Amino acid sequence: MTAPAIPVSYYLYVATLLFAIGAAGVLIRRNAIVAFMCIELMLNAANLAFITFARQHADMSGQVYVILVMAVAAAEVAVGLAIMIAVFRQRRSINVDELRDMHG
Amino acid sequence: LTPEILLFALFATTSIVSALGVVFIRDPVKAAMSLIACFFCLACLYLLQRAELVAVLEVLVYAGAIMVLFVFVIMLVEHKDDAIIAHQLSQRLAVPLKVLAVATVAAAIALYIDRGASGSLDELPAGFGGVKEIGREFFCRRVPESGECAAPFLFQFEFTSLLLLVGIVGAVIISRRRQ
Repeated sequence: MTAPAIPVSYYLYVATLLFAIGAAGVLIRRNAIVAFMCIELMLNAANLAFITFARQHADMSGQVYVILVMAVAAAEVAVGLAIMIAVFRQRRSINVDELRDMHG
Repeated sequence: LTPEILLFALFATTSIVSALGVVFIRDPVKAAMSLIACFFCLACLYLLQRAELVAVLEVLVYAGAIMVLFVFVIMLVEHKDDAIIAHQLSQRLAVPLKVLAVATVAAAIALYIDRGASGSLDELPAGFGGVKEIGREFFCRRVPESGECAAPFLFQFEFTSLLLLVGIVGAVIISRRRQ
């Protein structure tokens, strides 16, 4: 006996919501580390969509892309947090409102 | 109302609630804990869609390695002493919540194994999402017509190793203390 599958669209709604929450967090939060965590959330929302499409088409390319995204995210987090530590050493702050040197 | 729908509803709502927690909780350490909960729920959603390897990697890489890095840096950067000390109430709530979380994850895995035994849900091919099949996808994907090996993701795979190496070296150089 096989149970009826959960529709693909439900997973995509969850992915969309997570992406929207992450995007809102990047815009709302002033702490650079929390904004960075929200970017990770957006990446994961995209991953969920990849996995869902992989199931829909019964093709594992989507899952392969998720693994590649994870590797990129790991490298990105390492470099991004290193930059934040370097900024914090200079300024004693990681509030994105106080880091205004690159404003035109 | 099958167990799968229940689990989907549970993990979907929990992931969204904990994602909202990341945005709205003021204390960055608690926001990071909320994000870990979100990653666990996402791993369970992956498992419900038969992406077992990716679900395991999600917990190992995201909830494990990446979030440990985040928490380390938060504790380096935030100089509030009370950031780490949890309140009495949340401390008391924490234990049953953790037990509940572990129980639901165990239930999800049990359901997954049970379903694997009783036939696949979407008539997905056998081994879909497993380590072996994903390895095939990377290194030797059989072309249906000729039966030859094709490796469409080989370059990306090798490039990932280079990217990680550059990432490690870059992180060390950037965060090094200047003399």
